[in-house]
Amino acid sequence: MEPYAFDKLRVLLVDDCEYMLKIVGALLESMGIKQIVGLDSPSEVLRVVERWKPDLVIMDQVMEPVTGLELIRQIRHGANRQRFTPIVLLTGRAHAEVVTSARFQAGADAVLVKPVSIQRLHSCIVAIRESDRTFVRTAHYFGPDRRVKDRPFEGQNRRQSDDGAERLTPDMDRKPTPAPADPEPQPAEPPPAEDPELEYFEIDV
Amino acid sequence: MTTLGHSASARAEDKARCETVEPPDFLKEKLIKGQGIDAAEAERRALAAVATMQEDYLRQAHKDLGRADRALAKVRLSSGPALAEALDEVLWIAHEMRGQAGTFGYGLVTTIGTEICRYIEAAETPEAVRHDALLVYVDAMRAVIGGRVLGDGGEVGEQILASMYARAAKGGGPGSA
Repeated sequence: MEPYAFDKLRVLLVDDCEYMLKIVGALLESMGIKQIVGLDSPSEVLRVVERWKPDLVIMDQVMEPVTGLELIRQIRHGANRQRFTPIVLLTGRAHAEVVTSARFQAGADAVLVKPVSIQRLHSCIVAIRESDRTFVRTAHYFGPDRRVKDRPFEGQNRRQSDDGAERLTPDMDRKPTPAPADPEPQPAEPPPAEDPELEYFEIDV
Repeated sequence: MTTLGHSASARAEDKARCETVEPPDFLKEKLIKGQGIDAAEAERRALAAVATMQEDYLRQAHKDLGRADRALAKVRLSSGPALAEALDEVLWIAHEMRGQAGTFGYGLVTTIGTEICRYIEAAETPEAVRHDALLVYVDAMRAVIGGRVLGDGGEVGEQILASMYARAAKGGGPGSA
């Protein structure tokens, strides 16, 4: 696997459980990340995002008084460049409702289910870096474009569609890029298979 | 693709007003490909870091078990809104414990923590949650942590879970169906 230099990244880590901050912080340091700010309260997040300008935000979902989902919405609705910051949501359970809201409504780049392992964290960050992070703005959503169901193909073409939005279309002469292998088994509680929408998103990127 | 959770009119509105934006690429600027360390090296370093935190984790887990005991005492003595609040506290502790345990290889703590969360969340009313069943679960976590039972624990792990399910099911608790 290709090496990556993480040492220039600034990562904001938000979890109201101080011990989780310590654990995830240690995993990030293992990758070589040197600039990590950990917040155990969601109240300071917007100010730190605006002033410290992290390159990546990793935050827990279950926090009080503001949830991770709500914070993602607030960051995405900001006025400055930081509204595009890549965001990973950590959640204790792969509840379909949370994963769906995070990816399709709040605008998270990825959702990671705890317990967090170095392999999943590493591949998640690398996958965000390698992904096409085109954003879309609609009346009700601002965040990564979720309209492409399948992973983009190599040689994908962009076209302007009827509604004015730029879309990706595959070059069918090329072989598809294989999806990165999930280094670990899926979480113990995968979203219910009978939910047709769940076919379209992954727990990791 | 549908926008889940939005009404049909909201989806129509989204479709009508959809603008594509090319964002500045945060990670490509700072996360340099082809230099630094690969995933295997990161894993080796992480395992070393986690190993140095094992004792620290066990101390934290014992603290959490103490918090769970205190929350369970509240559950036993409470009713109405206070009971709901006490159950929330147990849920919260179980949620935190299961999230931390997996990183340190205590898979059974994650399993039991998940059982606690499911049990509380599935209860129709706070009064339907049995204090003695929660106690059994927390005792099982204590056995795992106290015995430093890693992974699924093999035969010991099976015994802990079997005993836990059997004790919790007594009196019509979880797993009795």
